[in-house]
Amino acid sequence: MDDLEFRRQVYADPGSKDPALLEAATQDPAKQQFWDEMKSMNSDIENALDVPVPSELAHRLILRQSIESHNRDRSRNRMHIALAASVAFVIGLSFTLFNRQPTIYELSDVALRHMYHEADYALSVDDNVPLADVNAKLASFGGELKEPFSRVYFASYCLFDKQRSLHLVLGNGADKFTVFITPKEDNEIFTGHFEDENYFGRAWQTSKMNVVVLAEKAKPTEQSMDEVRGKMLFSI
Amino acid sequence: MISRKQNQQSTVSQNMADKQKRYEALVHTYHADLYRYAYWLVKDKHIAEDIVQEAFLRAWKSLDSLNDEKAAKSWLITILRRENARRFERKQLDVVDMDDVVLMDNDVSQEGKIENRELRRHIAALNEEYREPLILQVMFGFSGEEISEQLGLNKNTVMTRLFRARNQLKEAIENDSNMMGKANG
Repeated sequence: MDDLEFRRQVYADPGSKDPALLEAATQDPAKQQFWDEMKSMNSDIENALDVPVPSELAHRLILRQSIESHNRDRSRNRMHIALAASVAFVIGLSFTLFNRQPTIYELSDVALRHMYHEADYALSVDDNVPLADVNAKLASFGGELKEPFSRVYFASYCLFDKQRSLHLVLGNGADKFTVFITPKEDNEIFTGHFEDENYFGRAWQTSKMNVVVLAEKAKPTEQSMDEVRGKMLFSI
Repeated sequence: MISRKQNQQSTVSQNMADKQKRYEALVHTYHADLYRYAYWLVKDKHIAEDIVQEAFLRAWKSLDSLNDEKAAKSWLITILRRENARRFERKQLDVVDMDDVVLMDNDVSQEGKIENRELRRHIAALNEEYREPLILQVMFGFSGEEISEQLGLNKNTVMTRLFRARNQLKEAIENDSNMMGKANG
């Protein structure tokens, strides 16, 4: 093997295991020396190529892929949700149509039942709800408490015979009473005064709302109950 | 019916978990070399990382097509090179002026620091058609055949380019030491 060919091959691949190359190197110390130089340069190249890798790169690569597959899952889930939603819509629609045969009910009955159902909880809490929060809740019923009562113990949305309603527990001095605000329904029978063995109630209607005030019979609070009508104003 | 569906679902999530495991293994095994490869292709840390990100994302999406784990290295390099080529399709980049290239040398041990910096500068200055086969050979330990397959060139062309790459590097190093000699003398 001539010198030029030897050099060409060693330059191209210093790690070569070619027998002809090995043979040539053993026979010629100059060739061997050249090869050793090239091997040494090659390991310098190897070191030089070894640039630092950003420390969090592996983490970022896995994170990015998780986000990507999560997003893909989410769009797939959105399809499922859309499908579920349309099924639910059809079911809901048939229920509504089915329920169209009006069941007549007494507003006072519903109010009393709700009172018994919730009394344990609603009458025992004291959230001391700020006026602004009460009014924020009242707003979706078109109502506003113009003047505050001494305390608002409880203010929460609730379901009042399937209707989204507002449940308040108000305090006026020593008096404590419950107020329900619920949208008017065609199939309800409205009574302005009602009572059972434990509670008595007052109710009035605005153009779209029923306002029902209930208090315990044992503690007469009529005056305070009447005050609700003066302090709570409705625009609908 | 219900139990069959559950079985299918659990198989699907099992497959997803396996795929995730394979992907993470690939990331851990190859991310460093791929990043270095990308760095030497583009000579910019940030672009290199972008390319690696895109390449691994594509690898994830088509991971099912990788049947042989032994082929993973070449497979990933192919994806990465394609991703780099796409970058050029997206926008025609300015030719990088070698004087502007910031070479990373803050990591190297004290010994041989200057040599490394010089050598990096020389490697970066090589024409890409010489630099790329050199990296594949030195960093990935690819044979002449493997490089020619990867780059779509015939083997003789590859060997010639490798010869020229080292030849030019050797000359550049010798020039350096000559200049140092003159400066010292």
